[in-house]
Amino acid sequence: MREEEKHPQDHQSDDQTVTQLLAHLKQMRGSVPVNYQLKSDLKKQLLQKMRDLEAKQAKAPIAAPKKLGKLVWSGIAAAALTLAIGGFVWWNITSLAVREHEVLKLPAQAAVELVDIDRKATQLAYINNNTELKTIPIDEELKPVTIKLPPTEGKYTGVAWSNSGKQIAVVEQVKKLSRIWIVEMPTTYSMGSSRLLKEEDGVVYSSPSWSEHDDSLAFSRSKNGVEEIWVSSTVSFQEWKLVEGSQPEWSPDGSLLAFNKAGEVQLMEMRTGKVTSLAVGQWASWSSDTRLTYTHPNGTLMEVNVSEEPFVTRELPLRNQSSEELIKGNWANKGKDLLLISRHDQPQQLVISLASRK
Amino acid sequence: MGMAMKQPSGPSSGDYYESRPFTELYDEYFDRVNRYLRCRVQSTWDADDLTTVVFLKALEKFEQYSRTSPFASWIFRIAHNTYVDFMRKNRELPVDQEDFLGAEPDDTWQPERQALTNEEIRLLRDRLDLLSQDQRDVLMLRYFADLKISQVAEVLGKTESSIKMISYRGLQKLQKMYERGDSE
Repeated sequence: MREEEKHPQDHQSDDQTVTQLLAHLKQMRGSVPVNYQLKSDLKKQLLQKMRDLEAKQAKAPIAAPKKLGKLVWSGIAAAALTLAIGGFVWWNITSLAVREHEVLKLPAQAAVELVDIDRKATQLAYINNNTELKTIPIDEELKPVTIKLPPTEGKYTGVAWSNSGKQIAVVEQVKKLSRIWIVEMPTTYSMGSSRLLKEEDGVVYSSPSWSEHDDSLAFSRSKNGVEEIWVSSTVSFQEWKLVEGSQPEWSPDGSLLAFNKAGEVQLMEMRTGKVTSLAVGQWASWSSDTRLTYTHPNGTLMEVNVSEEPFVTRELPLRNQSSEELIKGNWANKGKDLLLISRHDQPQQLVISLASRK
Repeated sequence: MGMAMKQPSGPSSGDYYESRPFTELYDEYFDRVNRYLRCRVQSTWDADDLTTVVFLKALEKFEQYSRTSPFASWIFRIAHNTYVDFMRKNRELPVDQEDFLGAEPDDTWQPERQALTNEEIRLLRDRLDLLSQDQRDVLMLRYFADLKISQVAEVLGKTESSIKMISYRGLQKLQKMYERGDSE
């Protein structure tokens, strides 16, 4: 008999017969048939309804509220005015400016990889309190999402959005044990879930980077001071070592991999395996298939066009930038938006801002 | 490797979190809901229609499900309310025991359970109908929907101690009926 069925002491003599009754009821329950044909048919009906609802929701943004419509028209009018001013502001349009300061602040000791922007520049994701994955919408139509991560005795050290925006790779470090989780972002009918992609003792994983079609993940694997870049298939779970180095960043078309080795940004041609050194710096990020930026040791953002040899690097000016020391820039929205991760001294913290080419 | 981020950890624990998608929950709970409704309404056709209504409602309201309470309580609240609505609209119809489980196609029966006669189930239904509405609701949810005491309490909006007492009294009454061998 289950604990809940225990009743006042003066009724204990009845327990035996009640137990028999409970067994009888259980047997009766098991005898009631289930309509499995209905179960199958109804599931199909529900799946169809889910697809219909998703399609309906996908169309919903078109029917914007009137107020928003006015805003849109105001925006269009403003844009028209801007165009009328024309060439005068040409540089203003093409140059990169910080448009949202301090979108997020993280403790100074937080890893710089704890935050990432999705490829369409619609939302940020970051690890909050070492317990959950949170998003910050940039696109007004999105809602913030919080996904609880598996409890850890160690630390979550990195996140990376997949190109589709449906998954996020999350790195966990528990003493000498390193793990990479693949977190499925919630949809209308499913909550976030995660699966373990990799777990290894005696190593430190970092810097996950998704391949063009999100079927592979490149990451740094550090063991006994040796840093290597490995690739793990998210589909077949095959894995292989690519090259020695760290901070891998796949180009959008997947043909090139930028990475860091001995303080230099290097470039690997995926087809041939040819490696070329680009410049002194770290934290490469691709703004297009052929252009990437990286952070120079003096904290400036540098840009290089890798389709033109010899490689020419130039400083990418950032207008409206505060005095923080830039550590890392992550490109999104095909080179139109840039997530800036900087270090602020007073007070000491990591400051996340957003820059864009208008 | 479809590991859930945080498995449901028990209805009474503070950190309960249901992370499974709707389809997975449907697969798990359809049988219980269908059985529960087949026990409660007179005709299997009606029971199956109600089961359909329950899951369509659940899908529509799934975004409102907080996930921090057991899905069982949530889906059975819908199921119970759907049943109550149905009974309200069909108040004049008496429960026809001939329709209960009658003429059920064989493929819906588990072979090992076929030894139980419909007569036994009809007898149980007769006796349950002699209980009070509260007792019947509690026993049905507790023993036919297989809910925990806390979940029955949530579904019916009563306290756990009240459910325990109603359940206890209902079982005692039912027990006496079995002992007397009557259904009067």
